[in-house]
This record gives sequence, C-alpha cells and structure tokens, in this order.
Amino acid sequence: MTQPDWFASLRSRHWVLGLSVLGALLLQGAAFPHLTVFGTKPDLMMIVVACWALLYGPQEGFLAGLGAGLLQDVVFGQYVGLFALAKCLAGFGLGVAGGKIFRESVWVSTGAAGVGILVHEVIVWACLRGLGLPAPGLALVTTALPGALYSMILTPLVFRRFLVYRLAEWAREKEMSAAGPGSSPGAARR
Amino acid sequence: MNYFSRYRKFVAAVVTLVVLVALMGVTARERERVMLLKQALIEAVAPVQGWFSALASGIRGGIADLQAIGRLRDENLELRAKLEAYDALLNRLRETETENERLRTLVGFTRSVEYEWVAARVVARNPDNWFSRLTINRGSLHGIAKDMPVVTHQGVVGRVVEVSANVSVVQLLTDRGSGVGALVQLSRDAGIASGQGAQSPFLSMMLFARDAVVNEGDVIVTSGLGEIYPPGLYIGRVVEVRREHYGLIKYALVRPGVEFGRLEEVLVITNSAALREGGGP
Repeated sequence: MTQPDWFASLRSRHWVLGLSVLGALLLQGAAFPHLTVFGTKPDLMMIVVACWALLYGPQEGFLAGLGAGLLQDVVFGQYVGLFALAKCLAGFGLGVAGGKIFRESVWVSTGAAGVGILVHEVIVWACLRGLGLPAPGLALVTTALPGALYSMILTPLVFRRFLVYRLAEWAREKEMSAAGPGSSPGAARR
Repeated sequence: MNYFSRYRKFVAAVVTLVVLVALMGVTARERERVMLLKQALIEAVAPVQGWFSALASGIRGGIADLQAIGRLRDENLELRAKLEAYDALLNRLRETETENERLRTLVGFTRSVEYEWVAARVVARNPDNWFSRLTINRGSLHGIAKDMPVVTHQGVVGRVVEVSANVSVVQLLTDRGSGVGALVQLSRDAGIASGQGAQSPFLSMMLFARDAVVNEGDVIVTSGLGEIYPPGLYIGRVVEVRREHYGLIKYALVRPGVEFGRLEEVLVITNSAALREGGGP
C-alpha cells in the first residue's frame, strides 16, 4: 500500500467512526432520554465503541473509546477524563476479545459487547469512588448492571442492522481494495 | 531507539491513561465557568441537540396525542368541573390574600422580594446513568450564574452547575451529588433532601431531629438554610418514613413534584440571593 492510499483509507475509516460517535452523542443527549426504562438509558456511544473495537481490534478500540469518551466528558461531564478512561479501557479489552471470539455470530458479539459495557460501567463506578463521590456498592446493581443490559440489548441493532456496521464494512472494503488483492481482513483490523 | 519504537504504542497508551487520571483529578473541583474548549464545544453542539430534542419531543407528543384521543372527551368534562371548583377556590384565595396583606401591614412586615426568573428550554441530558444533569439553552448572556435554583410549576428541579455564554448545565435533585435544605411544611422539622441517582424516583430526606414529626403525605419544601435555594419552594411529598442506624436517624422517602423525565421548559430564579435574605417571596 502506498502512503497516500494508506492515508486515504485511514481517513475514510476514521470519518465513519467520527460521524458515528458524533451522531451517537447527539442522539444520546437529545432523543435517548425519552427511551429510559426505570430511569435507565442505553449508552449509545459505548455501543459504537464496542462495535468498532470488535471489528478493528484493540488499538482502534482504545482510540475510539478515547475519542468518544473525551467528547462525552467535554460536552456533558464535570470530570474530564472519567468516561474517556472507562471507554478506552473497555474498547481495548473488547478489541482484544474481538480477535479471540467468533464475532460474526450476533449472539457472541452481543455477549462480548455486553461484558465490555459492564466493564465500562464498573470502571466509572470505581473512578467515582476514587474521586470521593457518592457511588455506593449498591449502584453496581441499580445503575451499572441495568445500564449494561439495556445497552447490550440494543447492540445487535447497531452492530448488524444499522449504520455503524455497514459503514465500517464499507470502509474496510475500501481499505482492502486500496491495499490490493493480496491483503487480508487482518490488515484492516490492525 | 529500537526499544522505544518497539514499545511506543504501549508507552503512549500508558501516558494517555495517566493524563486522563490527572485530568479527572484537576477537573473534579467545581469551577465558576467551564473550560474554554468545553465552553466552545457545548456552544457548538447545543443548537443541534436542540433540534434533535425538539424532534424527539414532537414525535413523543404526536404519539401521546394519538393515544389520548379516546379519553379526551371524559377528561374535558372532568376538567370543566375542576375549573369551576378552582374558580371558587381562587375567590377564597383572593380573600385570604387580602386578609394576609392587611395582617402583614398590621404587624409591621414588609412584602418580600418577588421572584425574578429566566425561562429556558431543555436541549439535552447527560447520556450516562451515573449523573442526572440537563443542558438548557440560556447562559451568562441571559443573566444566569452558577448555583442559581431551577424550578418549574411542579417544584424544584435543581441548580445551575456550569455556565457558558448561551448554555448552562443543571444538576437535578435526583443526582447522587445533590442536596437541598428541606422542611416538613406542617411540623417545620428540618433536614436535607438528597438524590439517589436517576434510577430511583425518590429523594431521601435525612431529618435532623430524632423525634421529628413527619408522616406519609406530608409536603416537603425548601428550608432556605443552604446557600442556593430560597425558602418555601415545593420539593415533593413524603411516601415513606424510615428509621436507620439503630433508630438514631430518621429518614423520609420523598416523591419529587417534578417529573424529571418529562422536563422540557424550566425557570431559572435569578434573584435567589435576595430571596434568601428576604425570607422568601
């Protein structure tokens, strides 16, 4: 792959990620609060990060989580770095898991995303405790678990049916066609 | 050099994590105004969030209207009956108000300060399940400052925690970090009402006195003892009374008057300091 081609494919892929995260942020802040169930809402941004990490591996998962989390922290949060830390670690973990599981299965990828999202919630809880904020142990059951479950239920929709997966696949095909006939899917995931 | 290039990704990741933890610590302290970058981003995103929010409310309102058609006739009749009852009540209130004014003058009280407020529209809510905050489309340019109380006709909503030029962030009463000085309206027993997270629809009011008189159905209002809320604002009603810590502390579970999930417009009280000093309106 020549340098300009590599940059072009990198840009297309990251444009997809950037737009997905921004779209998730806008939907999450404005429309998703109306979809709360017993006060719990799904974390659409984390779903996007999970999908991305499963598709592209630990490095991309880390960076996607970092970008999405920082955006969330800056626009909504009081503690800049809180969700960035949780999302990039969860994204990294999911990226590692993505290489070891049969991610083409909706059930397996959904289960993995659910575990990743729960890890994200536990990291946020631990950070809140570390900052001396009120985050009782019970919050793991009343806040973290329901949030992760709700997000996990929505993951197949985002992963298989909606934009993120389709766009990511499109970007990956574009990358592979730019890389030439000898390239493997693993190259795109690196 | 080889060693560095071999582990540069790992080093970069570790450095990033350290920076994030440091940033968290630095920004944990509350500030009068949000950071410049944060301010710019909030200002840029808020209008788009406003469109999304309006669209979502429109769709939700349309669905609710369709669902409501069947019961509108009955509700109309019921409302007419209520309106007549309220007319009678209004007349009685006018009588009481006139009498109250007369008695105030008699005992030498002066009329307290009136509320001054800025109306604002909710444009976004925090996307996570850990904080209960919302973004409104009014900021420092409209006279809003940090720690101003936010209310609706249903009662206290929360307080302003971040302000930029055209947008502010409000911490809701249900946020785990929120607390408001509260009074049982009937017995005048004081306490602190605090949020239990977005998943719980109730506030927990810890009463200062062990023998405080509080019962189910009692009205809870702001006490004005803190530095944020003026006295007499409606918070909610007691739904349960509990004793904890071997019966030493009395708690009341309070259902807030405000439906936090359905908030679309709020009022920010801009003269709360004057109201606190004047003992409420």
